[in-house]
Amino acid sequence: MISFHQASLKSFLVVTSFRLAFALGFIAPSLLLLTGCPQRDNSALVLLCPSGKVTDTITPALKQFQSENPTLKVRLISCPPKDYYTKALSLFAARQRVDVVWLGQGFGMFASRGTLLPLNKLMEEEAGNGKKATARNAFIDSALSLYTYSDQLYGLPYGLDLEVLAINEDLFHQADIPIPDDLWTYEDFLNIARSIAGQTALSKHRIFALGMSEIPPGFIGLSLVSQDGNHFSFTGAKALNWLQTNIDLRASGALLPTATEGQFDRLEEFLSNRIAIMRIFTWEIRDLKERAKFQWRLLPQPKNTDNSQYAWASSSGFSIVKNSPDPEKAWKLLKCLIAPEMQVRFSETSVPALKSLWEQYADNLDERERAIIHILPTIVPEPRIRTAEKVASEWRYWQDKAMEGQMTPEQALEIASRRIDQILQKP
Amino acid sequence: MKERGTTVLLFLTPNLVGFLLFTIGPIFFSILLSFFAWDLFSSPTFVGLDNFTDLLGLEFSTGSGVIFTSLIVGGVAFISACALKGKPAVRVAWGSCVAAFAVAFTAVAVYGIPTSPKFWQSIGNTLFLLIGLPVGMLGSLFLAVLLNEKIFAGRFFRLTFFLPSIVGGVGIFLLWKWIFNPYYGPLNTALQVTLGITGPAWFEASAWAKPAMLIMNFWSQIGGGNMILYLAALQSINPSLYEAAQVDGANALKRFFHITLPMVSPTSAFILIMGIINGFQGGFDAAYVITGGGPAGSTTTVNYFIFESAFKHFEMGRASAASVILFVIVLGISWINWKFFASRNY
Amino acid sequence: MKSPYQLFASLKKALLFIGLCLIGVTMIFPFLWMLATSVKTIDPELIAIEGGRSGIFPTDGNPLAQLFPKVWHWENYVNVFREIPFARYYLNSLLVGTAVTVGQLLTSSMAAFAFSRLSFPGRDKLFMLYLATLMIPGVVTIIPTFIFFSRIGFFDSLIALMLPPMFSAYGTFMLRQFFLGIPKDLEEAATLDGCGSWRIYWTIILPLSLPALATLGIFTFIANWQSLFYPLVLIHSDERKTLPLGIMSFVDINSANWPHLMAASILSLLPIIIIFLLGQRFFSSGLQVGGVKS
Repeated sequence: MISFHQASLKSFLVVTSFRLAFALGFIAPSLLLLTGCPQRDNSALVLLCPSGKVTDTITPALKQFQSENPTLKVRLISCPPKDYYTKALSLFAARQRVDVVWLGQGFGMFASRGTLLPLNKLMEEEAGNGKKATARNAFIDSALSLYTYSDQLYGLPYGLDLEVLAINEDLFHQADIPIPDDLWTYEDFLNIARSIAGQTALSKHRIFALGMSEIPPGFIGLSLVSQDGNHFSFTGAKALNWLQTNIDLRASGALLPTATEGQFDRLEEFLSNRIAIMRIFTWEIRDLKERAKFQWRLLPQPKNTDNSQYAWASSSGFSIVKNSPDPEKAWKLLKCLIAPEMQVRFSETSVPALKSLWEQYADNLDERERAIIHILPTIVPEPRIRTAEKVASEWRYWQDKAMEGQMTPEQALEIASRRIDQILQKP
Repeated sequence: MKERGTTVLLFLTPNLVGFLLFTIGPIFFSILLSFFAWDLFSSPTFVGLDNFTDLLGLEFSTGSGVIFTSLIVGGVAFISACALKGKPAVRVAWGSCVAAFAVAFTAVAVYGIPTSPKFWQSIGNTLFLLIGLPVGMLGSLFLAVLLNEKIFAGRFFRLTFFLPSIVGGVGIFLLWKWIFNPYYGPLNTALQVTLGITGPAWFEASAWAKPAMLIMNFWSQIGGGNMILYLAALQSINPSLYEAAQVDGANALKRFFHITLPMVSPTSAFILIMGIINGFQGGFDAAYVITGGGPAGSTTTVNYFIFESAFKHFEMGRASAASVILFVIVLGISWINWKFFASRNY
Repeated sequence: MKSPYQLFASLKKALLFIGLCLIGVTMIFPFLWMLATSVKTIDPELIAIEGGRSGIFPTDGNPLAQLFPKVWHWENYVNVFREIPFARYYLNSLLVGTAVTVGQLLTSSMAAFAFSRLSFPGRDKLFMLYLATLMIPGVVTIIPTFIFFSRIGFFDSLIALMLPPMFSAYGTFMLRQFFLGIPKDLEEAATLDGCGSWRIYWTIILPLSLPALATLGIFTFIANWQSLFYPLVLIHSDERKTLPLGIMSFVDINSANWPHLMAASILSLLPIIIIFLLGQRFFSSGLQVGGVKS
């Protein structure tokens, strides 16, 4: 036992000042706490949305909304975009007040847990009043279907988020590969990836053919979960073939080496000339336009042998929370947030969801972006399921096992299919 | 001193209330919750031991016949071993029993697929990261021996070595994420320029993520509390022991192995036990900041697994069951520690 | 004239010194790299003007020779404050840290006093309970704590961050050990003079254990300053984030801007380094109070 023998209390001063600090240190923070943190205004509507571009776009609109409706107060909470959905869910779980929430592809996690207010009735009332802007048929059909869960509409979109492919034409020239056109096939796509990966001059500089850690299964019309959300649909020869192709491409160095794409800032890599073909989303196009120092263009997803073509899509929009103490005001806010002028504002990050705005949007696209127009008819909405996070992480686990050679693709598919069915069918 | 009850209560209450509210209460609540399935949105449903069997269970796809046969053979052998009295027979029976269990165990390891492979993987990762402990202890002892010499600016060195252990948190994890960046981090650049080796992808490769963690932990812990403890232990060794050894002609290496090492062994044991416990408790922050548990779950520690199931998948019951298992593991280690040291130190 | 033995001894000393210097440099080097990165830039135009040394991407030369840029971009530090409410995070961390430290010192020292100086039935059993919970991982209690705070309405408030760590079993344990080592003569004299427990606690025990309190205080403050797990689960609004959480949200929107990230990291580490340099004498002693008694 070490003991500090300072038996003779050195100076009265030290002790007194210590005691003062002790007492003050306790009182001061509590006072600061009471004054320093502004009291929350309970009458304000709470709007939850991801920080970054969405918040930046919404903030000026909110100001306008407030000036038009001085009686309505809105408090904006922004969550970081990474893990936005789980963070938002944990807010709901913690029973925090949220009235209107921004939702995109994670919509299913919220709707299936019964946290959202069905909008069907409100929509019908609006339609009865003869208002067009929020009528069902004003929206692009697939955009609304993305907010439907068991026949109920739970949200209204301001935009569609599409996945396109971006190619770095400079790298294609370096590799001496002709630039494909909008009609390219899945075979073309694979061949290009292989031949870029085969060029040692490029691979020496750590240049990747594909800016993805695996080929999106959607390219060949596969999806993890069946449309009704009841079972794992990633089975059969097609799935096996997909897995094998990915293993081969990974081995040849065409794919990004990392299993966790999130760890790797794909857009930064693409912008710094290190990726030839890149999966890009509509919300990233603006960055591409502003910052890319090379020739690029967008391409639609490659066509399959049976001429089918599939594009991943999601929508961005807002939903009203079921526990909202003031759904009427929340509805008002929601309508303002998806109004046509907002959709135009958001069109830098997503394709407008209103049919009436579509033509104007298409006209504004430049030559490099025309591919977006081709993609719209090929959209396949992902099934909305409660356990989306869990299914994805379970699948990722077995897929990695197969891709790292710890298991044959057949085995991995077999186990994954059994496990994921179990997860999906759990009540 | 005999005290009035109120005085005692006044002294004790502030801490005790908080202790009950934020430590004891939650522990019991966690144990209770581990028998329920609850996503916080609907009401909890009682599921009995399902959470535990799901976390720890195994399933057999092929060859399960072998396992059950060997288990039955083992069981029969065990019973007969118990029934037989004669000495050689007992030996044979025990031998066959052990062999049968060995077969069964291997079969389980080969054919058994855990129902939650991720949980087992997280335990495996936690254990793997414990490898760093003995290495770090050796490093700390080495530094302590160096610093124990009377040397110019010794105090300065001690401070320098200590600094990484106290300056930690998100900032330092980010720094290491940057240092280990496979494409333009300083480490791989230096490897490329000086040795011409293309370094591994570190935190982005499942095989290298844990070694990278170990290197990071080694750097941050080697000069920390463990070194200070060793230094104190070294300073309490009676110098006459060394003098006597020197007279006997023992060289420096011999003196180290025959005097220093045994004399610091209580400290080593203490550090080891605390290190194991800390190993089971820690690892969350680094995993969250640097890798997000990946790649392919290779840095998911038990802590991170619990966080993920609770606040990403909202399976509170399952997460609680995992935390109860963790709690039992840590309690078991503490208990061993208690038994082990009861006779020695306390 | 030195004897060969002395010569050998001083040679050994010199070698030892060089060895220690090398190790010291290795320990410090990551910090240097951090500083160097924080004053670089990722702007390709600036890099083109100032040369590759100003960028974070490797150039062809020796990376060690190009550790520091030609032009030091101190504006990165200002930008951190501009891009995120860094000052707010700082203030929150300070508030939580101070409250937890003072609160823990107060409650722990009182409980430790009860456990070491007062006698009451069940004292040792209760202390065993404290001891048994010393090793409990934080995750075991986080789910109930989350539910508790969200149901009583303190979710997403600094109070939720302050309360749980205030009542530490470790602090109680450590201070009790220390109090047991304080000789009882003074107290006995004071008791004869008619002093009650409160006065003994306040005028004798506390002043005598200043070093132990300082040690515990420093450790508590630093642990709290670095704590990520609790805030991660309990806090979501920007204006209530503490530094670690704030930096994490900075990472989310800025993942490739290493100079900015490193600048933010250095800013967050500064207080710890200062505390470390000011209170260094408490570190070694504190470790041993809680550690082995050799």
